[in-house]
Amino acid sequence: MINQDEIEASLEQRADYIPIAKLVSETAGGSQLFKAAQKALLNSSLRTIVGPRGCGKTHLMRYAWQQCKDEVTKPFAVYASFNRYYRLEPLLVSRASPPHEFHAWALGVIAVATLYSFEAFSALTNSANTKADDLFFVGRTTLESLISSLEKNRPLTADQEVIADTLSINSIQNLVDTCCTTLGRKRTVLFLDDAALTLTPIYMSEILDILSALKSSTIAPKASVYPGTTEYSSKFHIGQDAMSISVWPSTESENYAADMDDIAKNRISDFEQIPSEAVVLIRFAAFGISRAYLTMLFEFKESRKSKNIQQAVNSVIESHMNARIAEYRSLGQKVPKFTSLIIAGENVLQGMVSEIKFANASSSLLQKVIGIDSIGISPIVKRMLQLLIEAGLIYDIGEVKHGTPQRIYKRYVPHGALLLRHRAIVAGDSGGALKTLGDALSKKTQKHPIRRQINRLVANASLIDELKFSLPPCPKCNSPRLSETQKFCAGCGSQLIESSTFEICLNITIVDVPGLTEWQLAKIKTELPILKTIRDYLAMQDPVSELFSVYGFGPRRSAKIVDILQSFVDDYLS
Amino acid sequence: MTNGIVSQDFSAIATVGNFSAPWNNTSELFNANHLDSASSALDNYIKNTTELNRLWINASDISPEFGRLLLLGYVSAVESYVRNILRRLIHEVKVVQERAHLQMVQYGAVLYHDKSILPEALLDHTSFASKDEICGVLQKYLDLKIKEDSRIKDHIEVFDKICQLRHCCAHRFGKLGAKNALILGINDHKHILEKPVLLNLDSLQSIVAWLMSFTKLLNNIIFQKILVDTCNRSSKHHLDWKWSYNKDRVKYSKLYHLFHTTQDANTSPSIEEMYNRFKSAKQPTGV
Repeated sequence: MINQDEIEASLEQRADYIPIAKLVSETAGGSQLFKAAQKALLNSSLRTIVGPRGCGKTHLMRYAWQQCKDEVTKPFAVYASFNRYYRLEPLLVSRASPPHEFHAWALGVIAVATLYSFEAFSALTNSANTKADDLFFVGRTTLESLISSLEKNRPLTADQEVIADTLSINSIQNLVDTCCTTLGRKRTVLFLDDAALTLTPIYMSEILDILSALKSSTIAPKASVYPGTTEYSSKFHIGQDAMSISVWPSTESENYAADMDDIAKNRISDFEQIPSEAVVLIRFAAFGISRAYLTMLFEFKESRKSKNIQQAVNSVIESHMNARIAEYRSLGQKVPKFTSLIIAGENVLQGMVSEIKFANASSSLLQKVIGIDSIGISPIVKRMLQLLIEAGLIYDIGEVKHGTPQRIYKRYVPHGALLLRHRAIVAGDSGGALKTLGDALSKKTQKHPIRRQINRLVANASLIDELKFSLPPCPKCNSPRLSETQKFCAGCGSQLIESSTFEICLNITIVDVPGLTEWQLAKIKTELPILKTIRDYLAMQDPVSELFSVYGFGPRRSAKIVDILQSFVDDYLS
Repeated sequence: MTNGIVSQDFSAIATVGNFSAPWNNTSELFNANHLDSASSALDNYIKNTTELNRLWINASDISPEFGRLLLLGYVSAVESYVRNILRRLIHEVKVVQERAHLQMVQYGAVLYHDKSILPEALLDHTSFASKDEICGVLQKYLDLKIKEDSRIKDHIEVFDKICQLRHCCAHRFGKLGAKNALILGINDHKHILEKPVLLNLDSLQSIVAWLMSFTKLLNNIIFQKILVDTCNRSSKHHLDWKWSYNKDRVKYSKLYHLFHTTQDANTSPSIEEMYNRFKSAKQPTGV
């Protein structure tokens, strides 16, 4: 147990939890993608940084921030994260004007981050010794208490209302510019992390409006978002106002192996000792996600203690795949209306893998790409595919034209771990020997994708043809909903309002939180009976010390449990 | 011989028919057995609105006349909510009652009204079908300045526009009058002066859903104001909260039941949950 704790403490794969100095020393800065991303982050234009969870967006931003801090010739940089946006989600249903409150929250978060960055940068260049808090109409403590009130959905006091009303795009621009000139920098880059508020489209469009409004000749906002989320606001057009930079490396790219291994070498001291036949497969199964790659390599090293190489590789990839699928399915839980899209999407994904397996069964070339005829992609099917992309289960490699008359095919590569698990890349039934799989991966690849209609990828075409949002029945009389725009129940006349996902999360019992051991759960149940649900956890003032009071929980184990609960909440609500 | 003029009634341009008496006594037209339910003002509102919804929610189309009548009904439901909640607050909440002390009611109302309904008489001469009247009365009795409240100040403008539509329906059989057009924005409306309001299923549904959300929001804002007032220690009417659910339950429950809903599809959180939220936000630190 202790051993496991130590391993996990030494491997922190989430960039937001790594101390900044360590982050810089452990950064692999050599790849093309990395350099291009750093350039995009530091230039003076509005940019969106696009990639699924775990591909390194936070890392890139924090690294760029540190570079700016250390080099006076670089711009002033502010790093702010919107990862707590979901706490404001209940306001969407309890108050009718949440964009106003969300606006104040988002600007407040940026203001606080600006003041903190100013202080951090001051160490190097702030000859006048200006105090951060003198630069804004309101101090950090007050701002932080406003942010905290909003996150707790607490009604604002009269004073807080005034501050919320006074926070404006203009006031933020002025603050940023004042900090920038006081520090003797020429311009500012604003890193806005976790800006993909995919679960609350109203907030997403609000934040994108804020982004484009903040852009000025001296301020360049950069936002990290997930791929496939296109509910961009009406005032924000990718391509016109903002360019998007993908930081999700393709397994197809030439430098994929070298770039991923660079990252691994920086973070795992004995990387060279890991057998190369295992590395090849794990790298492919990571599907461009560096966090996944590191986690799997660590798990591989762990499971080698009791298993042979083949078994260890299989179990690591298998469990990674299961976790990805579980994460994807959880989208249906978070946004209930997506349930049917999630189910159909999983079927399509399996269909893609089967087609690829079939194609590879009798070919000397390696096939990994499916081309879907764009004619069959209705808006709702598009949304379904986007959810797969957002979850990182398929990689979009763009369109291609084929045939006479010409048809447009959208090309996708399904997740590497899934291809490996289903032995979809090897010929015939030659099984899953590491060498066979490794050889298959090094084969020359097919020039053209497998071309299919989307409804042919599933066993029952009606699953796609009749795809619609899953609308929950009327909570009062259980009559089914007839359309998405329906505002009243056809049965009883009640108003139909979507319920809050945040509330759903709060009601999850800690027994259902993955990662806590049976022993820990039993201990909590007997000695800390007030901790039953996520709601109880979030209500605790100081959860670590509460847990510490349980006999058998040391400071370290208490912190670990809080980590598990906190990451569950963060992941659930991100 | 000329045609004989039998009648010289040159007013008889229309055939009037016999007047049959519309009633024996107007009192027979009211439901004397009706008891105002103990449910909250919001629940009464939701019940009323839901009943109206059921008249048309499954129709494939509605006539313009029916649409206009429905709009009248829905705005009337909002007015009735405001009346209802104010009456209860004046009757049950000391600080509100005190503000009403100096207001005048008609002598007859004092003589014949049941005490719990007497506050209605205070509001008898007020109509709530405009933003100014709602804002005025909320400020007068609750010291609530909703025109300055960022959560609702924009919505109250929309409500006023719906009231203008209602005005057209109530007084002009749906046609847009110049005064209404001025308030709605003359530039956008000058070409439709004297044209009738035409509500289809979609537009009616949107207006009704909007009104419901508006009323619920108003309910939440008033609830918050009443709770905040109870914590104001400089007021002689502040409540002595002990910040323990068991000790505060009776006091809190009285206020909770004035505002909660069991009729809405999304019912109010439990009384204990709401109390705990109140406590965590308002309990002074160090107590």
